[in-house]
Amino acid sequence: MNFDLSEEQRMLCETARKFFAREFPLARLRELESRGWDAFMPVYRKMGEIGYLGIAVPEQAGGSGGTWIDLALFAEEAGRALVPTLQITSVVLSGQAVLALGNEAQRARLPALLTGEAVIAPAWIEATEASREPPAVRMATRGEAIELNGAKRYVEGYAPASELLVSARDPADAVRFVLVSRQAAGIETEEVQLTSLDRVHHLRFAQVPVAPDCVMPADWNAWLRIIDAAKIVAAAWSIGAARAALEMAVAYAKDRKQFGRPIGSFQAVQHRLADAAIVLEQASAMVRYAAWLCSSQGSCPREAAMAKLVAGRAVRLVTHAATLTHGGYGFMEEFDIQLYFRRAKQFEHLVEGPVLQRELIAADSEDLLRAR
Amino acid sequence: MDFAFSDEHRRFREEVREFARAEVTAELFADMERRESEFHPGFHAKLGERGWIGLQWPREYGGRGLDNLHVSIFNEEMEYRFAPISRCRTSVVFVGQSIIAFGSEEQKRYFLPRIARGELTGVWALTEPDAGSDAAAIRLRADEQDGAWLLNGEKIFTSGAQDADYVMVAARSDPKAQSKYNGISLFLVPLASPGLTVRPIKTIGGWSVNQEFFDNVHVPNWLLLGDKNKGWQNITRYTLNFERAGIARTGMLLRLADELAGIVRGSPGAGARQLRHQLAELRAEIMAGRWLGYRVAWLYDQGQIPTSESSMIKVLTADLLARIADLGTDILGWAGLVRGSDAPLQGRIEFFLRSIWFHLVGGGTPDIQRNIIAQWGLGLPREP
Repeated sequence: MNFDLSEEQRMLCETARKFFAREFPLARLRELESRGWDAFMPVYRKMGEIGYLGIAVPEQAGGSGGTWIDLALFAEEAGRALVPTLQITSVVLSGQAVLALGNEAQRARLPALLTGEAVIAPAWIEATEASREPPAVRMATRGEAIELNGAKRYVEGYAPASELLVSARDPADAVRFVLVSRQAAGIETEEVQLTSLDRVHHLRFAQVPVAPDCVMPADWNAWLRIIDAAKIVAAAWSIGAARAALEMAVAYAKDRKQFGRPIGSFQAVQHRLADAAIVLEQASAMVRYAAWLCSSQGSCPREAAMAKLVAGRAVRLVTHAATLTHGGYGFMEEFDIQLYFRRAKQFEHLVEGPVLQRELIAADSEDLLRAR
Repeated sequence: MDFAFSDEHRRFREEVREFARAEVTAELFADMERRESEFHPGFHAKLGERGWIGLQWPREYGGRGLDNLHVSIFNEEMEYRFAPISRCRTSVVFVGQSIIAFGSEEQKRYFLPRIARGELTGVWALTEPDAGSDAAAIRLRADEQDGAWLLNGEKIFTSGAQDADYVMVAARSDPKAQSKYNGISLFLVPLASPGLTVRPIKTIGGWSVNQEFFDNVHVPNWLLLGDKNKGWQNITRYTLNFERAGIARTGMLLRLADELAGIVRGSPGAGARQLRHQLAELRAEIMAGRWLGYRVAWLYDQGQIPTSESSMIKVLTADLLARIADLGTDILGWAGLVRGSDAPLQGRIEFFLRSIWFHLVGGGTPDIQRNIIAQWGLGLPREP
């Protein structure tokens, strides 16, 4: 057992923190909020150049190698800087899906995804959030041609994407993943804006033509393993954000004086922040454990759900406590803590939401105390 | 980063698990009820025979020289069966490890082998009626007289003083010291000493704690533990940290979570359907707390003293235990309020619902723990 980071992992975290401090300070995030993706895409491509986007993708597939723990540690740094989660959607979901399910020609997309030159937006949510029900979007064959009909909702990273990864049921009722050009005819879009000011898209497919070589084989279990890993990465992103918010609140509580002394010397403030620190460390331990399990076993559905659930809870509670500590300044746009608060619930719902996680954990029948 | 237990840890876990499965029986609990004590001498003696009292002590003192992960595994497996190990812990951790850290050679030779063999048990008395969270405000006097000590005063809320052999007592030996943190000394006092009376105080949580009255209790000088007037420094530097090094409560949490999950799965009722998600969330939190616990134990093994994280574990696990007992009652309904071993889960849910205070308050209230986290961990300024 060893809870320490390796020398390489320490270096990775340190350089990633410096990279984001330089390339994506919170001022840049505010620019993203007002200007959109243009403010981020150059940073994203630099992440690709350095090899960050390729972490946990095998080197023979063009990735940087490394384990899910490495990626989780990197994600903590990205979350700390509130870096948009395009890497999760375009690489950890779409890229890993192409890698796991795709044939050689389909996998040829991977290098461009890993340099950040190309983006694939996964489109798999159909209701109000992700579920494990088979998709209602249908793949129909019309002679030689294949077409898609149906709708997807809450598609993240749509605007910078060149392609979509769409889950659909084929005529034999098997679940397939289909790569569709974003420019394909028959896609109708509606843009909605979230609390974070992120823009996501609802898509409607009406007889959208699909090239036969863009259909990937059915392997629902492989997709679930990808979802599990992506949840751990999203959980780590949340942990990083929560940690930064707590640090911000602690710094403010030391600095801000009322009644002639720092508000951080009041027990009421101390206890609120102590509770925030507890849920954060608790969740952080779970996320790192799940990342390790995912690395060493390749699959850990229950622990991935647990990690996602407790990390979502942590980022929600910690950012709330941190914002409250700022009093009136907490919800003024010009102060930075609100940037964290406005993303907390989104982190909690990222990839898969808390309701589904509770259901997945409740459905698991294995005892918590196992021999390993 | 590697969360895998070593083969040695795994083998040890199997060994403890087998033992607990065989030895922690319904008769054992019935016997404890009859004797009205959380301590079971027969069970304790078996721990001694196995060589499990003093796992973390150096071999030269009769210990096994094992790391805190072993201790954590031992606690977890024993607690998963609700085994009576609290006296083992007070004897090994408070008395034994304190003696190892700052006791005399004579004390080491006398106490440690006897504790390890299970022949001698010890408990720890710090709290006084007017010194609770402000623990350094103790007033029990220790006066030096003719090369020995006379103790006068009282202690309260001491677990186990009713049937232990020795009590480790913090006393004020220099009333003229400038600060309340100076002038405190520690003593190992035989509970059979003339002038020492033990009055049981019934708790709502099943077992009694005790109040001890010291009336000119004569303590020979060789039982002064550590340097004179340096007691507080030794407690805070060593004793309180030893207490926190092995994980506690997670075994019970895992067990209750597993038992309740089984009940909810097998129940077609609306209540179970509604509560299964709350239970799922609690299971996730318990699992997370478990790994924070192992991290803290491991940090101690690396020679670090993670004061703030230790307090986090204390607050977190006690809170989780309170929450799972509360939820368990909702899952069981009235049956969750029925006392006795014939009730569902042998009455464990009912028992924890009312004995949770031992975990919340014992070893320092959650309020004090939060102060420690805020001030030592987050670096927030002390209250003026």
